[in-house]
Amino acid sequence: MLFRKKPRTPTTTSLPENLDLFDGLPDDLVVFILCKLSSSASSPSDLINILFTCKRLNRLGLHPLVLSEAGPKAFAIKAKNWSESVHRFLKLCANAGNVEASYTLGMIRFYCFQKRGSGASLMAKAAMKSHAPALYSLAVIQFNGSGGSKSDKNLQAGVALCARAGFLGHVDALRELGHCLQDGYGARQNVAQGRRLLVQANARELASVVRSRSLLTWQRPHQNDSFPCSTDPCCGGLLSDFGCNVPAPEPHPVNRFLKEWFESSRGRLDQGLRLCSHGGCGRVETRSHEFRRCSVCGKVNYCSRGCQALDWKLRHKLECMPMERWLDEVGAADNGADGVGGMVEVEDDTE
Amino acid sequence: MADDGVNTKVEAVSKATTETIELRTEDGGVFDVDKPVAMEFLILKSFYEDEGRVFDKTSIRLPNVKQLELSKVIEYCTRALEFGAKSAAAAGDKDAERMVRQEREGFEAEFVDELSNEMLKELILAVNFLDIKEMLDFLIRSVANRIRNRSVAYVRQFFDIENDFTPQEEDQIHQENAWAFEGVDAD
Repeated sequence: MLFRKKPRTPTTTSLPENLDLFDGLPDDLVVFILCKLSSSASSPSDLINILFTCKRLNRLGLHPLVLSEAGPKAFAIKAKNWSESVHRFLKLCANAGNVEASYTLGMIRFYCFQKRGSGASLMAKAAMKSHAPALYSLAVIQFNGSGGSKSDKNLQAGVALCARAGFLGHVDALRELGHCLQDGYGARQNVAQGRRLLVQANARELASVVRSRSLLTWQRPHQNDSFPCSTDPCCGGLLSDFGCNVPAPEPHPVNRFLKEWFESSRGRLDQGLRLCSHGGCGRVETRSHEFRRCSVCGKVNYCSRGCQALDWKLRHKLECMPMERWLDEVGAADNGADGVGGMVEVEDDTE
Repeated sequence: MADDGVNTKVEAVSKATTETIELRTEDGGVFDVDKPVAMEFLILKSFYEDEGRVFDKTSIRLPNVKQLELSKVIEYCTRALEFGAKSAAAAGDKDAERMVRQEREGFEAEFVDELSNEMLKELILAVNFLDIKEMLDFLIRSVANRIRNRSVAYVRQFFDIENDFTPQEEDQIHQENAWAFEGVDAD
């Protein structure tokens, strides 16, 4: 809640009788109202609507305070609607200090327009304000050395960023960190701690889903039988190990944007660069063979272990078919904490 | 804010339970308001504290506030103080806290439902004048709720504004911002 200095109407003056009530509302109050509106906007039109009404609201609607308060859903833009005006709007909001806008614009610039430098710096701006998704995205970039060559990978930086994001409660980051610790990847190996983090990630995911669905009772798990994924791609999550078929949390609007962008004709992928096979991710490779593939079937590839783990549960475990030998090491490996364990190994292509 | 109210309420109880202040509105209404409730009006609070006045039964004139608004304001503030006291008493007990919160939300929803758009605006102006932060926040949230997801015409009618754009300007704005409206139904 923000409280700005409100103008103190001196007690001696009184409002003229037949004043237009809107005129009677001081700018401060109107900005206040618009701030509340923008922070709870569920789509861009909620906010943009205001700009059409009259000059005063047009001006006040673009007030930096209002823009900086805009919530994440106000930037849920569809890829097909992208245009220079959208770009301008995002830039305006990012300049006003809106963290979501910085992150969104950063992701779009980095992946869709290959503007690595400005994209990364926008994300860094958001990350410095403790925006968990921005920290996680930067970590993925560090792990993969995106935008550079293989030697630009910085595993320790990736782990540090994941740790920060995980500390803020980001579930994917916690999972990523858990896997890194288990494997000694980018950090000293600590299997127990890694395991703990994976369990913690699951617990957080459960808590957030329960909180957001507290109105719905546990009807969905009972309706779903053994193949939830065939009917609803969002069912399952990583908690299906515990028999809890809760839907996966909603992806960030910008991930949806990226996915739409690259699946449409607007995003051209050069030279066989691939999309992360996890549907909720949308990230693309910045150089060939950047992402790692499933070592069992080799048909899918992922930008990070987090995406790999999620996609496994959501759909890949049903369709993954080993190319050669049977996975007899699978049976014992999965004891429920993370569900993936050593089941699906991801390896770098050696080329 | 509610905490302040609770503290002053406790204080008031120990000093004098029936201290009231008389408030006169500009259209001749007279209200006897309990001290703790009146102290929520920061404009009064600072008036008393600055001047260091004693609580005699002086009457204060509120030139920018009308009867109807003041009565609504008093109603809200009294209930808000009660809720504040209840949640302080329930502190630590999650269930009780939740119950108090739900009760409060129920009251607030009812309170705002009864208000016409006009009334809401008048109240905002009155509350802004009296400087009651919590209530102002609540009222502004309610306005935002009312205009969210509404068509441009509705918002204009709500605020009683004239469209002062020329057709060319309107066109320009439309072009600039068409992207936000793809796939949205007119409300």
